[in-house]
Amino acid sequence: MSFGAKQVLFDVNIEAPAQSVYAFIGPSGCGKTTLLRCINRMNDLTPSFRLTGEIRVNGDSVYEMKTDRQARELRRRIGMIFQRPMPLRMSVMRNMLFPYREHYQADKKKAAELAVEKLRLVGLYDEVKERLDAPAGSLSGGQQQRLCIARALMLDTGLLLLDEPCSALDPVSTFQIEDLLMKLKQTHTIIMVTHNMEQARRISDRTAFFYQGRVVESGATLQVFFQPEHELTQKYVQGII
Amino acid sequence: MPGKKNRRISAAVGPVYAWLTMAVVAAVCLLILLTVVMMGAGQISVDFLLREPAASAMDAGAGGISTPLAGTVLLTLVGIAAAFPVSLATSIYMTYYTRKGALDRGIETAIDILAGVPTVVIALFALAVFTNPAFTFLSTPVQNDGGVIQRAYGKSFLVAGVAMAVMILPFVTKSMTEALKRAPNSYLEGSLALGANKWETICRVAIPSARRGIVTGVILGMGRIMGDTAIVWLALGGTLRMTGRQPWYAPGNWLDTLRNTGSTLTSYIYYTSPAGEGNNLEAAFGASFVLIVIIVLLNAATAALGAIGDPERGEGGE
Ligand SMILES: Nc1ncnc2c1ncn2[C@@H]1O[C@H](COP(=O)(O)OP(=O)(O)OP(=O)(O)O)[C@@H](O)[C@H]1O
Ligand SMILES: [Mg+2]
Repeated sequence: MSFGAKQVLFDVNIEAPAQSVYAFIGPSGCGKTTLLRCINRMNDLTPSFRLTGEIRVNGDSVYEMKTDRQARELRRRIGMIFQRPMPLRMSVMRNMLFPYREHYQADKKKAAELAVEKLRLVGLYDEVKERLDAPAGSLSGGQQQRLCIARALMLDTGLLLLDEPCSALDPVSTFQIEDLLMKLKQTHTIIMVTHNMEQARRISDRTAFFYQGRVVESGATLQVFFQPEHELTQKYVQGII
Repeated sequence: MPGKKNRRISAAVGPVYAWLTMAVVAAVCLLILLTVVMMGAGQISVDFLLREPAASAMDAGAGGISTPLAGTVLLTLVGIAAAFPVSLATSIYMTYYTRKGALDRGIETAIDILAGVPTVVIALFALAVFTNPAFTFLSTPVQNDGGVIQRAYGKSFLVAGVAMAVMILPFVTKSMTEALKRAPNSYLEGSLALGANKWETICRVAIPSARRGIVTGVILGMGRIMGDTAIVWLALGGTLRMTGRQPWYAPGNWLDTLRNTGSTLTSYIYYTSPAGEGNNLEAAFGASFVLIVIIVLLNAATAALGAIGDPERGEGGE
């Protein structure tokens, strides 16, 4: 995987089992975000992006999908949450309905019901039920992030990609999101980039440690953290590098 | 020998020079504004605003400014209506679809050059094109003795409006492009990650978040149209009154009014000024005062609009 002449990822081979949480850890700039963005083809937008090899989601090879339309359908099946909460500049409800527009035009009521259901699922409904028409930007950071998760769930997402979802949030919001992810794990496959070792240890089943574009070590979280095979991994999880 | 001493002197003189220049510029601006206000404000009366100009500005009264005022508004609306869609489409293309190839560089250069073309040349070009009989629908037909249409008259609010649109196109497009480029990438990605396609993302995410800059671009264009004289002079015509069917403001006559000629505040100022036929300085300053008030109001409106629709506050939607 490279951007122009600059190779960013080398020989990455990872398998994320369904209905579990996979954590990507590693120092800044080692390519975690880049890998995440390969999975739902967000890197396509960068003209210099090149990739060799294969990524499969549910058995479908992601980069064999040639048309833009297929890529869009892929993205609709994969939820992506960014580091900074990113509600669009519209009301809470409009945000929820945004990805659902085609169906929304067909059946407004059903879509609104679904939106409420998903807001309940992320534990946001009781907090914002009076403010569904208020601008999403007026919610707190943690609420916005949960709104984004709820919005991603509006589609039939089986896979959730989260890029440091809690790094802009306070501890309480962070715990709320972690709880939510534990709940979603029963129905979704989750891949999460995090710089927070504690968080990776608390909620992930598997962990991959990246260093300078390579996966140094991957496997069960407990093993990566407590019996790492590589010295580098050990140093990193102990906070030495 | 340019030694230390020299440098010290220039370090002392520089700020003084800059300050002086600034003071002179500010004083000149203030002087102009003050003159217009002092000479013009006294002219303003209901009668001045609502009466039609006299047939000739030579008459002692020169009449009021009702039709020039209406002309300025009409011309501005026509010009903006013609420029807005083209500018927006161009800026969308330049921001989201350009590949930075030779063609795109060509377009960019063309826009830059257009920005430097004097408006009188644009007006001349408009006349050359729109006197073609095929464009009679924009102005009025000119017939020969036998009643055969020879050419289009080529002067009208519509023709002048199109010329104005061409004139402001580079500026409005530039400011819209800047606004779109400033729309944070993260929002666009957020939308794309939800499976929205590019066009949908542009319409529903990028444009709303660039709304303020787009409005600013439009206002900028309006100000330019209101202030221009050369295009009015060549492409709108040399009369003070509306030449279409009367009364020009009756809804049934609107199209006819637009296809005919008239005046604007700027041409009224010209006619009544000592340079024109009028030598009627009071009326000229009165009209100048009105024009400046309109432009100031317009700018105030932009500021207010910006405060209301501030995208940072996450308001609005489609
Ligand atoms: N669009 C791009 N064009 C060129 N290089 C890029 C691009 N995106 C990322 N890179 C490079 O790829 C490398 C990996 O970046 P990436 O964002 O994946 O790191 P990361 O592991 O997510 O870091 P962080 O923990 O700071 O988020 C970096 O060296 C970065 O400069
Ligand atoms: Mg990253």
